[in-house]
Amino acid sequence: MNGAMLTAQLSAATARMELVLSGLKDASPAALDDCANLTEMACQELIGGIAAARTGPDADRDAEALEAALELRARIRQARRLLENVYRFHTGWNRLLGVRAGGYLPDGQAAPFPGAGRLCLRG
Amino acid sequence: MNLLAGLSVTAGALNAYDQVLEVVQNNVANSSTPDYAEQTQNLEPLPFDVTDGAVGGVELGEVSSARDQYLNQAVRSQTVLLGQAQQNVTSLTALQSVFDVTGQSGISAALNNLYSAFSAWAQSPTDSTAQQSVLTNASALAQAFQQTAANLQTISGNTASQIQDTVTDVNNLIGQLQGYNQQIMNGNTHDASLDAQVDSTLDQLSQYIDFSAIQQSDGSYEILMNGQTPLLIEDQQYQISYQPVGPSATAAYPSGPPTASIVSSSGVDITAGTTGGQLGALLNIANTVLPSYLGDGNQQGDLNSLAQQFADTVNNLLTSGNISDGDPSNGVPATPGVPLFTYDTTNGTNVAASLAVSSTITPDQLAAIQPATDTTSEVSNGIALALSQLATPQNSSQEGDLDGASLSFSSFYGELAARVGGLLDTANNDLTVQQSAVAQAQNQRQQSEGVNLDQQAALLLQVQQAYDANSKFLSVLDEITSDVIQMMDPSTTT
Repeated sequence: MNGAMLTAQLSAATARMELVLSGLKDASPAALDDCANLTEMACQELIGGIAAARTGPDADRDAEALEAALELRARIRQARRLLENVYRFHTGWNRLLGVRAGGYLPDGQAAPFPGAGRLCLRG
Repeated sequence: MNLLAGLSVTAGALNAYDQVLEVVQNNVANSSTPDYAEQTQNLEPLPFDVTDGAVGGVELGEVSSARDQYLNQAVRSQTVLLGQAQQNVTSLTALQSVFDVTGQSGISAALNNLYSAFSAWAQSPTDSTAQQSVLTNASALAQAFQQTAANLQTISGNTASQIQDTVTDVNNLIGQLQGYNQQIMNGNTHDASLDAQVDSTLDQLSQYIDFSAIQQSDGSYEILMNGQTPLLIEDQQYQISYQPVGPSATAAYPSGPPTASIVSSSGVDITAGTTGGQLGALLNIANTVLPSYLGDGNQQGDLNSLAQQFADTVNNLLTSGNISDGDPSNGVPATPGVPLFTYDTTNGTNVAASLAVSSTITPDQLAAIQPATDTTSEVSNGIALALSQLATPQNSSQEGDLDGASLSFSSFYGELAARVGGLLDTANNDLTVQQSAVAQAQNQRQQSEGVNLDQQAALLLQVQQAYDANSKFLSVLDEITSDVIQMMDPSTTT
């Protein structure tokens, strides 16, 4: 495996993850869509990069590649935390809206929020 | 509609729109106020029915804040974690500086120098210079332990002061909120600048502690620390306090250092539940991290344990040896060795701070001779050799015991330093994540203000789909990266 090639692939994936992190911080639906596309591209490139690197000299225990991989993993886990925050935020709000709109179900869970086809009556 | 009625409607509408304009101007005027929430003016339709004289038009509805408590709580929840991460980085950075792992100074260097002195002495067991070098380097090691313990105690003292300061800050902020509650309860419920002041104070509070702020029907805020301990209800403040608590008389180490305790106004110990924010981080440093080195009522502390185990190992070797052979044929017995190190034997948590070279030992009292046994003959430098082998132990009797694991004393010390290094790495990672998380929550708050329920429902659907896609790809990417790491360094934890 070619250590330099692998390091370059890992660094490229890390650069993509930086964009993902930026998008997750923005947290708008459009930014989240972009994040998914960027992460998918990072996956594909990294898989291809590893396959190509296997044809080169041995990269096992390559210190630079290992450091680049650890850096990438840190960014991935940071992205995961931010993604979970977005999810928690929206599901929490959804539950709150559900409680306000429909109260609680018999099992104590919040009633589902009627997200579509609402009829608004004014009197 | 008659002319007068028409004029009346027009006048009412103008009055209403005038107030709308005031609200808009208020928003502009307060645009630079921290935490100011945009105010919206609701215009409510009046009934229009010519048969009973209702003339229609609009009138002012209640001024409503666009800020949702949920949005603020989401930001504050992340700020609690940010405060905790920031404090952890600050405290652990100070702690890490106590442990030099480069081998250039401190315990690590002193240990290496003493091993070298043992080795030189083993080469020339009767050489007075080599003997003196052992005493000099043993003394330097003892001082290094004392200095490390003193530095840790200084950090412990600073941490206690910071806890006290944080508790004071929390009580002061709650005091400010108490004042705002009084204003609100006196009828000042639609004051945008007061609203901003309340929010700003709550945001500051979230750096220190984990709390919930529940707005009551009268507009006042009820503040509960850790979700259950009242700090503010209506205009009544409940102060928390800091108390250092020493070990009980029946504790394993009754003379051990005190731990930090946070007590509610009713005298209830709420330390265990106080894990978030700056205060939570400080309590963790004071009650978990520092005691793991310096001890408390329940544990000796690993620095003390290392000091005692090393001193005992050296002393046991020296006292098992002989300073001189004596003259058995003339009835003169061999002169047994004497201990090199002394320490406070009455308090296990004071060993590192009290470690010293015996004030009575002289260079020529170092016992180098390993006496003959039933199966082995006397070795003139056997003890000195055994001491030099502590650098690269040959068996478990030359090693220390750290939580059941046998390690060389150098590795033992390395583990202590690595522990704080690992904690600091984690804290730095947490800090990076939390800085992003707070920015993210602030963005979410900004984006969500003014979004109506229908927009919100559509947003939820979009976010749900994006979450699923992102989650899937992140999992795949994490798996690939972890495989690469494992391939290059199987010892790395996933």
